[in-house]
Amino acid sequence: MSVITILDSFDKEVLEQSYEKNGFNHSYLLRKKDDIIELTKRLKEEEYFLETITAVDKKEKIRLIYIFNKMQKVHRVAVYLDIDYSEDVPSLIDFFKSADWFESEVYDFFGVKFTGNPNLKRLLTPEGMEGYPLLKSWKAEED
Amino acid sequence: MNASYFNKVNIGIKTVIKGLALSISYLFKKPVTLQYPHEKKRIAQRYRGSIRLKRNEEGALKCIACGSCEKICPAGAIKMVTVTPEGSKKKQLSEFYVDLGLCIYCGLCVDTCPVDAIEHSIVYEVAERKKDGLILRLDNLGEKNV
Amino acid sequence: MDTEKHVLKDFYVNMGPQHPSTHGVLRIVLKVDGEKVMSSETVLGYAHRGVEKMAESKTYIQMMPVMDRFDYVSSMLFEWAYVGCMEKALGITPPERAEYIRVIMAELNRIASHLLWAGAFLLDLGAFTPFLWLFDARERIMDMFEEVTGQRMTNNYFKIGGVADDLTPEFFKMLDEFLNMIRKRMADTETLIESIIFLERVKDIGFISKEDVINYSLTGPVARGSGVNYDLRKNEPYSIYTRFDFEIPLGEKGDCYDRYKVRMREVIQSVRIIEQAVSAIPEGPFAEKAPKIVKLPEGEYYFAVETSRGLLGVYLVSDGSANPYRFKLRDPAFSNLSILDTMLPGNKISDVVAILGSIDVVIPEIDR
Ligand code: SF4
Ligand code: SF4
Repeated sequence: MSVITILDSFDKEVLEQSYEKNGFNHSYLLRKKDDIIELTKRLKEEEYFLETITAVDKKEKIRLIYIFNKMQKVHRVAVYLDIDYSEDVPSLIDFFKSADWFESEVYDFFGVKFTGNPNLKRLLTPEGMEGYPLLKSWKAEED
Repeated sequence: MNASYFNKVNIGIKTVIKGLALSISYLFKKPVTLQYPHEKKRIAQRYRGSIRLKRNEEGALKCIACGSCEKICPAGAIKMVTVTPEGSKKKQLSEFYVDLGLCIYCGLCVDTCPVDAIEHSIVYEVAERKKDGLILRLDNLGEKNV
Repeated sequence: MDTEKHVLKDFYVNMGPQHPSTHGVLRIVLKVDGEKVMSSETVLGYAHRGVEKMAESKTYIQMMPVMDRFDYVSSMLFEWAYVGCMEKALGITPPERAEYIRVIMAELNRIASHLLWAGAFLLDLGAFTPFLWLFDARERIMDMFEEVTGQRMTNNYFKIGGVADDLTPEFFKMLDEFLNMIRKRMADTETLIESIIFLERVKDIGFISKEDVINYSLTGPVARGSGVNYDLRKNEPYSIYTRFDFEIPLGEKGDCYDRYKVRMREVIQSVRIIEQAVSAIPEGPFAEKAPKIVKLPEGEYYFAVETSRGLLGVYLVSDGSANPYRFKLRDPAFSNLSILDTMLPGNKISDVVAILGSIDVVIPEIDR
């Protein structure tokens, strides 16, 4: 089953990005955030692996990006998720253990909480750090 | 203690002897170590050492004080002061600082200069006792750059 | 008698952040029972410099030298990922000769990285001689880099549309010398090392199963050591890697020894690629004309290369201005290290060094 048929059943928006131009074979914006669980499950069955999870601060919202890829032949799928600043997102830790650190990193930099991830912690920033540095509203202190 | 244990010890001793013979053969090769600072390495011509300003045949600085290098320097190591003499439109360099303590020897300033007025020397021994000594000025830009 | 007092419960050992075998500032908190590790926790962030935030206030060109400073032992591979991403966005293809130069440089860098790894790994396990032998070989690569790029480690050599400067005749002479000695040096090292003393320390510890490779998003020699055939040079060929004939060494069991073996064999494969590239390198320009002020068209770009540690992806979001809107590194060692906490329990403390070493991490790359 190809990724297109998998994605058929989800409420989504197809983004216009190509492998030659952007590096993603397929890009989809999911409208319902809980769909990510079902989608990950299906993709894992199709032998995709989770390349990374990251986020971009889009000024009004945070856009999460899940990048999946296949090992045998490159097939990079970017799944986007738009969320509010204080919104929680379901964790993928049940399917991919690597999600643990990826999610911790997003939490560390953007303050996005992943429900269901027991080890969510500030991974990289120093102890006692306040605020989430990769938000555009965060400003570095002048020294 | 069983037979396989002694067997392993046996193999161990044999391989150690084999390895020793090999290392001893290396004893008779030319040494590769240099006795720095008495012996020095050959430095490549393209080596990116400390920064210096180039001069033309008359001995004047080639720099036209455009400020591109100051702008592109990712480390903020270059600072310059310019003056515009009266009656002339051209800016002139009155002071030029390169802080070698900040410089990351990336070469972007050299790449970006429109008139090829700045370059890397091959000087790499730039250690100083005081932090001040790391700041190159117009009058000592050549000093460190023999 | 009060014997209870002397029973230590929950004894913790702090390995790092200043431990010689962590090769950087990595801290592992080990909960031990005697010699045995009960559980472990990896603590990151000691070398965190906030590069991803810094990128937002630097121009695209100013970020170039920063790429060298993530993984300083294979810096040009990191440059390639970043430059490749920008070239993709700008629609620039480097000329033929530049591609060949890039491949030669990247493979030399991969060898240098593996040699450094092997030397340090064997040194951690108590073998001193191979460290010197391999560093002698690596030193020759560093000299070549100095000759061509101007720096030994932070090269800043790849540019948008090509490379900074052409190869010199002196370089080819040095390369010849190097290619002549490296095979013998690797064989010598293996004869010296593969004694029972070494094998007993690395065989049958630190297993990684094929399922875990997928589960933990492992890439690079760590994945290939478990027999997962995944190398971007074959599976997602970028640049001109399709033109070269080389193999992907694979391990069988996925223990520390397999990972060691995979890297040692990869060195020879890289040598093969370099030999083919040197004999096929065409004449011509070494760089395409590139804009002086780089502004990427609005959008998102992702480009991945195979570094000596695995899949490295650079993700750039541009809003059309001169600074990246978002710069993200998907670095291989980050996910490779995440499996450590599951691997350690049940092993002896002395094996921790071997297991951690076999993963091959560079901390500034993980902490960013
Ligand atoms: S070499 Fe790089 S860091 Fe040094 S002065 Fe030039 S631009 Fe700045
Ligand atoms: S870029 Fe060249 S000409 Fe312009 S200020 Fe710097 S050294 Fe002078």
